[in-house]
Amino acid sequence: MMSTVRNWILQSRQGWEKFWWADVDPLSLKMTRIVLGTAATFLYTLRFWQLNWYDERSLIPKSSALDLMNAYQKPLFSWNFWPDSWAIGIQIVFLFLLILFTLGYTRRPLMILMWTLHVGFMHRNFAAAMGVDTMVTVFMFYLSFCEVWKKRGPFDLLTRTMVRMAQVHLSVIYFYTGVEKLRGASWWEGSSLWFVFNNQQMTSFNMEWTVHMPSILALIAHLTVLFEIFFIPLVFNSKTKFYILTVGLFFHLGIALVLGLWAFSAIMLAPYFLFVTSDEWKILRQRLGHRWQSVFQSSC
Amino acid sequence: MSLWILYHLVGILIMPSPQSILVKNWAWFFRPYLNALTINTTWNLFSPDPATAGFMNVQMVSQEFETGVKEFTWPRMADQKDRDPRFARELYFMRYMVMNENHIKNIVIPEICKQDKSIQEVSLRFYTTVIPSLEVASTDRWNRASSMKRLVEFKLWQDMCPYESQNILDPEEEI
Repeated sequence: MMSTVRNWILQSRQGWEKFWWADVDPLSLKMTRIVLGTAATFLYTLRFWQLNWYDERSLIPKSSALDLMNAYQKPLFSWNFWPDSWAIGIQIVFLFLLILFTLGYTRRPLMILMWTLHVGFMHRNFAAAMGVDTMVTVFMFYLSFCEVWKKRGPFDLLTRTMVRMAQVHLSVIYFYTGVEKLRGASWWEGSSLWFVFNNQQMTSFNMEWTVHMPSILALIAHLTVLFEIFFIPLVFNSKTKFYILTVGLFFHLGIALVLGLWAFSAIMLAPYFLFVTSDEWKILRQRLGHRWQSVFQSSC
Repeated sequence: MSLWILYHLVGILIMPSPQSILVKNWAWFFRPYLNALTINTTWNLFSPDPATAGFMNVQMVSQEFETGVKEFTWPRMADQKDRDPRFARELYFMRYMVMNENHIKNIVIPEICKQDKSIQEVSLRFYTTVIPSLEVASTDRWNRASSMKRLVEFKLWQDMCPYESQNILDPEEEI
């Protein structure tokens, strides 16, 4: 009896360590860094044109900036540690750090500073923070602790833990997004995409023609919910992982194309690379042929 | 390391559901940490139902204006021909302010009053577009869906300037 319990504890511990501290492929980390960094650089370069929302000209006074957040999310302190007059300088420093991160010329303290400045801007004007900013916060946080500058493995324990945590967090986000949709009548009915496509503030094109294909709209809406809810079990199963990641790729490309949310889609797709193991990169490289070999060199 | 993993994992797993009794009992343990990281959020993207289009019309009354009234929309109206990646953030900003009446009363109106000392009155109208349901739009052969859309005044705030802000923000009060 005792030995059974001891074996069970030992196996659980091994399973836990195997899950959280699994090896990370350098190419996976590199691709995630480049995609996330490029999309974030584009997104936050635009802030130069809206910097008046984050300095003394802002509609939101600095003194009540945190009060603007709802009680559930309000932090005990603000990361916006700089005076408003420094906003332009901080923005330049932030973008510089972001570019260094994208290129891989960075280290942990610099990345943590980059994350702090990002959250500092969010805290300065939370009303102007969008879903994409929260996604950047999540994934940038995990990557800030990773050895993203290393061209070859093995990576340290912290990197491996953070990569796994980023995978888990992405899955949790999908799960909750799917479950939240189940509270909405339009998702049950299948008409939700009709409302999205006919919202002229969201779409890039005139999508009124979709009125002729209600069943297809409903099918895509139902599949969206299923994709989000079942992402967790399917992505952590090696047999179904590539299928669900491919569905996710097309799902986000669709969002990017129709809704014009290119940065958001890129930031959601960036952690997908973290799911690809060294062996899987090798298989991909073989299938894609020699033409792409140079791109994948660093994974060897 | 394992302790941190467990703590962080449980936090990100349970906190996105604030209605849960589990969260009500354990929020004190996870909230300060997750809020400091700014990752404590409910993941309701396009849910429970997708948002409808909306904008705010701001009217300012002043004797010094040529016609007595000046107005602008927030955000500036964007149609499919005028897509600007900065527009989405402007829209979010406006929507976030509209979601809570205190934000309008204590921040937006006083700020507009501050713009020009001669402004005597400010009116803010939040308009939303009502889109016909898919069922109605797909069965109506005579009308285009766009012609069935209706612009509805959803909310109106009106105040005199100079507006005395109470400077009390109650984040809980939402319309």
